[in-house]
Amino acid sequence: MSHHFILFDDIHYQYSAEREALRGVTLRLDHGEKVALVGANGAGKSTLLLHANGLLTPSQGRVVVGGATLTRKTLSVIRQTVGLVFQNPDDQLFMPSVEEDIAFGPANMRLTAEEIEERVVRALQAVGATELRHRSPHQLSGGEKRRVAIATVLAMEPSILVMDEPTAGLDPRARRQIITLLRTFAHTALIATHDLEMARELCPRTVVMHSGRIAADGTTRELLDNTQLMDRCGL
Amino acid sequence: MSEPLQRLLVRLSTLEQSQPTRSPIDPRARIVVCVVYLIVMLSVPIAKLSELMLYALYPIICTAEVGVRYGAIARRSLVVVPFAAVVGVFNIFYEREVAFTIGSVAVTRGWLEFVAIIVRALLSVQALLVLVRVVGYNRLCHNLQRLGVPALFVTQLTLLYRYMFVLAEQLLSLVRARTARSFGRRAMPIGEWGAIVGQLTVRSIERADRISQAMVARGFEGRMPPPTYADRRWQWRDTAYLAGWSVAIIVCRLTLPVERLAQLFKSL
Repeated sequence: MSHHFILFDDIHYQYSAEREALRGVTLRLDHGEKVALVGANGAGKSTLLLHANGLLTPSQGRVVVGGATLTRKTLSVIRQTVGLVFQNPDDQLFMPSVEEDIAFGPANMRLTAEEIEERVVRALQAVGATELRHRSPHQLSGGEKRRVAIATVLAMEPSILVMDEPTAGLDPRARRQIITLLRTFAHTALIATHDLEMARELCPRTVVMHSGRIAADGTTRELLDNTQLMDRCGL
Repeated sequence: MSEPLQRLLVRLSTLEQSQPTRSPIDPRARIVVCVVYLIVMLSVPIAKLSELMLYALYPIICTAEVGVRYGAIARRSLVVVPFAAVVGVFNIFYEREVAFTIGSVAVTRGWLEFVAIIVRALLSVQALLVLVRVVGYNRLCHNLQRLGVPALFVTQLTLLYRYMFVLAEQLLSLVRARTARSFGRRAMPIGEWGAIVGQLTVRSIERADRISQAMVARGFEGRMPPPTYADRRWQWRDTAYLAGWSVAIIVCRLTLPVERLAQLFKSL
């Protein structure tokens, strides 16, 4: 059995007494699986993703990553294992330059200067953004920001990638570049998206969320071709 | 309003252009000299305007040293004039004693003090602008941390620069949205201002929350990690730079050379 698996076990989460965002979500991703997480706005996709590396703590249930249950003690190890790419790259890129942003995670892992440098170079190469190294994030285009945001997470060399809407708001070329890039990754990946065409291209398996629950879990082609299901879930 | 904002964004983005290769001096030495300069210059009484003018030499020499145009720095520092003018304007009314006359025009102490307050503000901003221009904003923040400035403060300073752009872009989009539906009406009632400021505040808080999550997700524990480049080692010339400038600035303050020179001319 691989350690690159993630299990959401009966996750409940409430933002307030009236607003329950997750109502018992159970989902397991195995090594190397690419899973699309689809659902209408407010279905609970982003909330579920924030549970993957402990940014939110479930009010009930548990998250298990590679056999370790997410607790305060395991938090730092799990955050290295699960790389989270946020929906808006402006939230993800907070350092003044691209290279410093990419180095931020490895530096927090207390790596040596040489190791950090190697990781920065490798991450930039992986997303094809070496020429952006010395630029400031606010000078980048939407597609460039997205690629750099992915690089910041890749530099931590996570086993599992969790991404929130990686193609949202991109022009067709930038979108195509991101899809091509994601196809090259061998990581276990959970990708929340409204881009159903991307889900078809990248993810053999799809999970449909509706009102904080999993409405369906199966092969992408079957689920996306099920018009009744799509219609019922607001897709 | 949207065009000035856009110009401001472009101007702000030049702050990060540093020229560390041209400057062989350790940024920490420059920071300490700048702090000494600010403390000493601000301690000159506002009544001694002529003495204060001597301190304009520091930004001029610093810009010449690293090959930056002083004019550009001076022009940029003008932004502080309205704020300083608001602070100093009351001196004009309170200090009506005549200091000297030029022909038939009497110049009061109040006017001299008003000018001195503006000069102080200009020199302070120029010294800081030169420092940022020479050291670079990111290196400046990092070296403040090396000098023992609390991590919390340095983190705030680093993020401030990065998110100034995001905040300005959001303000720009709000103002554009308003302009697009105001059909040429330029005046903005207080209610609309309130709505825009409220929107910006709420968006800023939400964003701050998300940024914090992004930082925590990548292992942040309250201290900015060191930069990717290697730190310079302190050398003898840094000590010489620090000592030379500090002594020169402090001696200027203690000996009041302009006043002495004026007395010398009077006695001749």
